[in-house]
Amino acid sequence: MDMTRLERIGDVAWRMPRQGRMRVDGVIYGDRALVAAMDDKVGEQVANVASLPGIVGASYAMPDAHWGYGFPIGGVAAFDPDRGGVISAGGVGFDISCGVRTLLTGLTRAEVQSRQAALADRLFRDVPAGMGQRGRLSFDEHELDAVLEGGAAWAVARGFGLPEDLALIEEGGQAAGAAPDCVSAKAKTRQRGEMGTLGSGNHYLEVQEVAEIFAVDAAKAYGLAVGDVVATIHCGSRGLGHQVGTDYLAEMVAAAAGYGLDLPDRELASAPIESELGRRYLGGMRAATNCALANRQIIGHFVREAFGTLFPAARLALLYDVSHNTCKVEHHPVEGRLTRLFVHRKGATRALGPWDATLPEAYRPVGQPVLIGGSMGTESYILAGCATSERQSFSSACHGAGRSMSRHAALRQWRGRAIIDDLAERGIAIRSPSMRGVAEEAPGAYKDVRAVVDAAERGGLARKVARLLPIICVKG
Amino acid sequence: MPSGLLSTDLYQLSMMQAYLREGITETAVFEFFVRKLPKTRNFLIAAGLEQCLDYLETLAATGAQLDWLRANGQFDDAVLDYLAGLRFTGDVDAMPEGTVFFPDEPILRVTAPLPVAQLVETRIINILHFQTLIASKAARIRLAAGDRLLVDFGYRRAHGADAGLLAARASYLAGFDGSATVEAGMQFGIPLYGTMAHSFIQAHQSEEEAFLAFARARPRRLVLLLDTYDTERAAMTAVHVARRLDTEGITLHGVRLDSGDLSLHAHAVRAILNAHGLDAVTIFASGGLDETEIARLLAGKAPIDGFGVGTSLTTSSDAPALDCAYKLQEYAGIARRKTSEGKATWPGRKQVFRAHDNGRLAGDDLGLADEPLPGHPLLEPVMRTGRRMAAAPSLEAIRRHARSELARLPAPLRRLDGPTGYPVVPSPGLRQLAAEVDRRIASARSSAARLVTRWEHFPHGADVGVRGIGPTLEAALEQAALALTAVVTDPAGVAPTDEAAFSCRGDGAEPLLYEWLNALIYEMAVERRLFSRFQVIVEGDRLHAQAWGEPIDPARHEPAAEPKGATYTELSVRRSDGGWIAQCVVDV
Repeated sequence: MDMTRLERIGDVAWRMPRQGRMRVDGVIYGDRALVAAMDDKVGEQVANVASLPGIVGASYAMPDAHWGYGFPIGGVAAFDPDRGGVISAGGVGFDISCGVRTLLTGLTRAEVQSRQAALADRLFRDVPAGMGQRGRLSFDEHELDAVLEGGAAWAVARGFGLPEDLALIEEGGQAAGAAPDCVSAKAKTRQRGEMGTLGSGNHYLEVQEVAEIFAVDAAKAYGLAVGDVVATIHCGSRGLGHQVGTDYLAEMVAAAAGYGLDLPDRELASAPIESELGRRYLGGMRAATNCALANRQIIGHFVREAFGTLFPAARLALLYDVSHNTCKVEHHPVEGRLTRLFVHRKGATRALGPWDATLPEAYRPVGQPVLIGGSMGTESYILAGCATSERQSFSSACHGAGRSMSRHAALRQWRGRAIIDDLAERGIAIRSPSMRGVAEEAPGAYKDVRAVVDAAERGGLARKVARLLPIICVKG
Repeated sequence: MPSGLLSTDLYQLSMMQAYLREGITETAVFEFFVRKLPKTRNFLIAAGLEQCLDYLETLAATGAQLDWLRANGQFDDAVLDYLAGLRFTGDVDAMPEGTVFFPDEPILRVTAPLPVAQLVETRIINILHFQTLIASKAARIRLAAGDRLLVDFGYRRAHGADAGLLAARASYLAGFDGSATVEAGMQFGIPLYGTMAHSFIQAHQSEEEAFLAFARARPRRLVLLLDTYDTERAAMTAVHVARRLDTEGITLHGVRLDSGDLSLHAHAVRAILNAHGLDAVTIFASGGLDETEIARLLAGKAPIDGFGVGTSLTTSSDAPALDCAYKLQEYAGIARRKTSEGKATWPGRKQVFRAHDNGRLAGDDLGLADEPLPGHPLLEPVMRTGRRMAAAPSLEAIRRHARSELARLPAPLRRLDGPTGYPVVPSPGLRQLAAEVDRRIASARSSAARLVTRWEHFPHGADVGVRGIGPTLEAALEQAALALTAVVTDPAGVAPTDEAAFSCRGDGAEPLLYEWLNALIYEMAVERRLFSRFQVIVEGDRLHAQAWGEPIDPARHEPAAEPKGATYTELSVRRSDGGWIAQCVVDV
């Protein structure tokens, strides 16, 4: 990114001063190397988002930001409905409520190591991954509406997982205000056979070892110790969410002019929060969020079952479940007044600081777990929201490593088989239906997640709690 | 020396695979030439032709090479079969070795089927570059040394055994009198010279004892090394030894100086020898010499009768590489040229026509091989259909030719310092051909820019862009659909067996592309189906399409990524050069 437009305002914070159509400043987090390596399009998109009506604070980019759709991936923006604020389908993204769930297995590396191949095979069999795979569940339309209203709570009621899981999911596992009738029939049809599937692309299911603890207090609260094994799921709302995104994007593009929105990029298509389309999208988006929460709850159940067959004594407890493609109603101070805001996080994780009332009691003293997925075969991190998070970014942090190389370029550079062999040599078992998919997701095609989380910590977005190393990776 | 099928670059085999696949195997003409002279060269001496012809005449794959290539797994059967039967059956025209030449002048032309003519590039450059480099350096040293004895001492500092040996050959043909390298004697019949090392003197109790012992063991053309301890004292010792040996019927032929101020020592030693009646004993000098140092010594009237030159010769240390190339000049009967900045070439089969004035080089015309130009044509046919046209000339004959070439150099070109120009003038025929080729390239470029129906991907941060290109809007939309399939799997692996119909509506061509791709994504997701053939009809704001494909078979199609939705990012449908381009980014 062209650094000449930026003004350094902190150790790892850069201000893009308001100019032209921008209504607020842009703020980009990252050390000089990370920001310099970002595509110029990220800067352009940060500025474009800053020009949307009703935006407050600043248009933020997290340290893992990259070129997205209208909004940068890694973008955070909050809109005030009382100032004509908008809601944007592009600002949430196509994979609505895509997120990460981590389960504590209660097992140690040594225990898992001895059954590594069997566990990998079992997980690969039980958790359908990749395109064209059908899930094991099917629903009639009525049942699907119940999913869209109930989220993870519906799943628990249906026997997927435990009641105590719900408190450890954002919003108690159920997005309020979901409106299944705002989801098109096409979107519902597209979900047929997709519940309980991982999907493809950068989605994965990993068994990981806690390799390092940075913050003892938070690690203790989260139940993490070095040598512990956890299971992490990264996936989203599947076909239903994608179709909701597709449907509303087209509708918002067509309606933008009618709402008097002069958009610098069609992909920023939005609707006023207080408009019929805005309300409908909100209802549909929340329904898709519940679809994602239910999906991760079901997959979490499959993971528990798979572990159960090999480790009958294991009781997998949920550590936390966070989404990173969201628009949530939150209250944050704006110009000294606590204000109701619609906070868009596209490829960014909410990071509530300590003592937030919505946090599970056990986590309140240390802040919300922020689950950061690395790329396949590389380390992942667990962070904790900190007291400064709200001031820095409306309580938001990064969500992953972010690609540094296009799929196309990755395909030219790597072969799937070689990557799998290489990772096997390092003790990491990969299972994937597609060698090309593995090559496109090569570890080398991603930024160094370590630099990203270091910047998040230095920027006061979240603090590092634990570093995880993969043992098994099931890749979609 | 290792030379054969695999003495080539990987890219030659890669291109061969592509050429064979495309059937691009017609006759090609390549020429080897030097683009520009090093700062310290006024001319070059062609050398290495015989080794090139040896290489070409014996080129064939060994079983072991084929096995290795097969096991390597990078090459298809077409290449392996082609290589198994490969022989060089082409023609070669070349300047005789020892010929003086200048930039842009081809010294070798290969005419052969393109895959073979291309394959041999690497080794041909490897051979011609090195020997030409060394012969050209040696010629300068010869010009500096006049008719004094010159011996190649360079093997030990050469960049490898092959280089050491070929440097002996190249320097000999360019005018050296011999070499210290014994292998060069056996391989090429080059006269061998040598004295003794300091270690021989050191191993004896005294210089005198060493001199006597050596003389008795090697009495012929006896040369004694004087500078182990004190050169002038050693010269006195040599005088005594010479007298004593005289009584044994052994004659002292010369002395050698290898260190210190060679001019001072040479003067002193000459004086000592002459004072004792040894006027006939020669003085031979070595040690860090090159043409500049030799010229300086001789300008100072140093009484030195011969020089040993090593490192500077075998490594051409002042100009260790030539900017040379082996470039395609003609393919399938049509002249080709490269127009890269600073690396443009003259097209077609070329000939160098040399004019002489009073027995001296007076200027060259760079013309076409069949152009009737005055002057003496320098490239001669040397190989036809893979066989030499005549037995290899003797190295002595080559050396004589080089000597006569050097004798024809005009005075400015004989200077060691400063670049001196020599006129090499492209002929009218050549200039006209170049202009024709340029026009052809320009017109091909503009027709290539005219659209070829195709699809491609373009990079986007985390996702991928799909682009369809075709002569009509419909064709572009069909190609964009293929690009979408290719996000998931290779469309070639999707059988177009089942048919599906689509209909969508969009307010303009761009929303129509968005709707079309999303309709496909929906169908792919819901029906778990992939498509590889499309037929699109656009009527106003409506699109009707049929697509043919088959159910996803994860084991066979190995779907890499699942498209979530087409986006408005980089969404563009536009006319371009008489066709259409339709593109957008797809979220995966």
